[in-house]
Amino acid sequence: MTTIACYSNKGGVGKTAAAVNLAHLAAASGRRTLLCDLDPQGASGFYFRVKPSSKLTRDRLFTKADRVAEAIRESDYPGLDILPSNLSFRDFDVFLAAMKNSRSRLKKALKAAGADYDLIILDCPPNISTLSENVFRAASRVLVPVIPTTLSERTLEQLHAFFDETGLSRKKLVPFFSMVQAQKVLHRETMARLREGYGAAMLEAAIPFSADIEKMGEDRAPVGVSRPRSAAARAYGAVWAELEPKLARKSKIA
Amino acid sequence: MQAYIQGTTRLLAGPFDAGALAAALPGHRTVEDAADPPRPFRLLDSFDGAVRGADQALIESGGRWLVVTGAGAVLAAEVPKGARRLADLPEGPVRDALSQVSALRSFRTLAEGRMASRRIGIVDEEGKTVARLDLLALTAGGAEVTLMALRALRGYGAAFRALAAALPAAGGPGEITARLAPGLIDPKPQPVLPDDPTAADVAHAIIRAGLVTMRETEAGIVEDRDTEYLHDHRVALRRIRAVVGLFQGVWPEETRAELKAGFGALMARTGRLRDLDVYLLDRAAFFDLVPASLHPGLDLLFARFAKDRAAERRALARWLQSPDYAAARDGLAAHFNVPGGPPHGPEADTPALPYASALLWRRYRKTVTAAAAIGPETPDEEVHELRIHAKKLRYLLEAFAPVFGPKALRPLVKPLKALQEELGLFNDASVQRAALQAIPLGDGRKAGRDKAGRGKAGRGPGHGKDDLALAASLGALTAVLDQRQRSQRQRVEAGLAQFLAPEVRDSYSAQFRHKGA
Repeated sequence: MTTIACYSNKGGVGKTAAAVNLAHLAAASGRRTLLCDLDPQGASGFYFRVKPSSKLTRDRLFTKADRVAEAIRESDYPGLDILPSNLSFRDFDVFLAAMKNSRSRLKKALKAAGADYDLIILDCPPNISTLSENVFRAASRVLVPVIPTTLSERTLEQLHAFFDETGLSRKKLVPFFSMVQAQKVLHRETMARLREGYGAAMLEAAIPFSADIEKMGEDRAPVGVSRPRSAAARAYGAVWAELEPKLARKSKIA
Repeated sequence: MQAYIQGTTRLLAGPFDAGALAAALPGHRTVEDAADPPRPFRLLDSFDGAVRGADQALIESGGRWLVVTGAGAVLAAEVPKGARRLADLPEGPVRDALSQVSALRSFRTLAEGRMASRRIGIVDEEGKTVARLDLLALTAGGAEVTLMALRALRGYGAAFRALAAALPAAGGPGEITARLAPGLIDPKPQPVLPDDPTAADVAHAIIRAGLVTMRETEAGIVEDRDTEYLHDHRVALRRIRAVVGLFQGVWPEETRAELKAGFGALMARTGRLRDLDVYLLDRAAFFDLVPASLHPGLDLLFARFAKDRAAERRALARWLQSPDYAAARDGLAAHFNVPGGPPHGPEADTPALPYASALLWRRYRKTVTAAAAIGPETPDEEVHELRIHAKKLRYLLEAFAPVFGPKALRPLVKPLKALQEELGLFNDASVQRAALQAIPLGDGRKAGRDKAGRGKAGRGPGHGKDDLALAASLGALTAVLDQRQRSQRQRVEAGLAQFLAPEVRDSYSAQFRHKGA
């Protein structure tokens, strides 16, 4: 079982869209996939038309792992399940801080629910917190969408520094460019600079700014389903193709 | 989309109606996920109904066979075109599920029609699918059944349960056959007896049932679907002839003689083909009996059997399709189509129970006398006679079993059956030995002769290389069968003691002695 996270310290960078579309691609490739929505705004569940779970409150996720299993919903797409978010998640940081051994809790909870899955994708809330730290430890890869602007450069540096400080391996981080507007000089120059600075750590594939992605809120489906021939769908496909070899081996959907 | 459904299903008699679902889950609606265009299907079974006997249904369509089990599972397998028997199927769950079907029997078509599969999604107000329904609609001859498989989605258990409760279930796989192939004639019907039957009632019921089987097996023999049609045909004739031969006094002697001759003539036409079928079916066993060096000779022997068999089959098929056969068969059947049946003999109206008791006691006594007389010095002919007595006793026990009650005669049949098995093996060995000795050598159908009948390389008939190989193999086989017959004879003698035991005598005596009219 492999766990990856989609994380950004800022909102509105295409994090949830990436989690949704990559989860769909992963399942379509034959991996039994669970998309966990840890973000209180609950957007990834919304895109799959899954209602938030009333069963799951904050303490249950971490004290009764079987509750996680009960809250899981099968999506309309083969091999893909969703763990919808719950508004109570916003209190996680406070709760976790009070708990001992909190770092391993998330891993345990996921393992209990994750016995069935080849791949778990965590859609993270846009902040640095104990939950985020838990996520960084549980995940083998952390996907970081980056809009190629100067501010994003700084944020990315801060994230790497945080990893260094807390003893997490930088190799886990998989930054990629998101919402790219290739006609903008700023974007092109920033991308060149970041590629030079981070080298092979940055993915080659990038997600363009796209109205198709914006329309996911109307379509309520992955772009690979609703707009399969779009540039957006092709771009997510390219990201997945680059990401897949970095993950552990898959097993076929039964 | 798959053209079949798998997993646990339930059956609906008739077409599917989405209205029931809408009522079960307010606010939800159905959407058509996928649909396959209708395609032809056939409903299959073996001649003896082994598939429906096992509470299953078997469907063939588009190169796939589907088994619907009594538990509601649908198993599927790709099957090569022209597959007719179990052995033609690939190994797997479908073949395993059909294991109760005899390997010798072919599958025949009970009904033909069209099947259409669809997948329906049940969605909530958000447009989220909460459950899926796979439907397989089978239509034949104006009737329709639908197989439904309701699929849960993880996390939507409540919806699944509500839907499952709302979907009716019409019954098991038997319902498929009943609706799509109504009016299916049972080819091996049980004799139907009235209350308080007379001797004539029993006789006529058995004969009528036998006539049905005879009739129903004709097409299968003519078309050479498998060897068991002929076997079933002969078993039916045998039962009829047993009644004619053993039920004394039921008809006037003139009628009885006519029936005996008539059915006997029909039976006589079938013997040779059955013998050849049995040889060919036992081929492997024969090869095991002689060393490998003699196998080429056996190959020749069996090649001849196969050729003879083909000729016999053609001849029998011609006969069965001839007006002479139809006239003979219908002439005999006509006796029993008249209300009341053929003319009544002196015992016709005797109540069956006392009639049977007297008949069975007499036959039992004869069998015991014959059995008790056998010792190591007794000639083989007497052992064969015992076999005949035992066979007649068995036929009577089976014929009258319904009259005495289904379980009453079982303890009597058991020791008799054991004796018959040993006698049967003895008889097989004798018959085979005699038959092999009768095979002519150098009869002009060998590779060692040219068209003018001269042996090749200047040799005379009967001395070609093939002839020698054949002769050697026949000789070896004969020797083995001879030995087998002798050792089997010893086993027969050992088995007699069991049949002659006092407990057996007491049980027969208690059932039949002094119970006659």
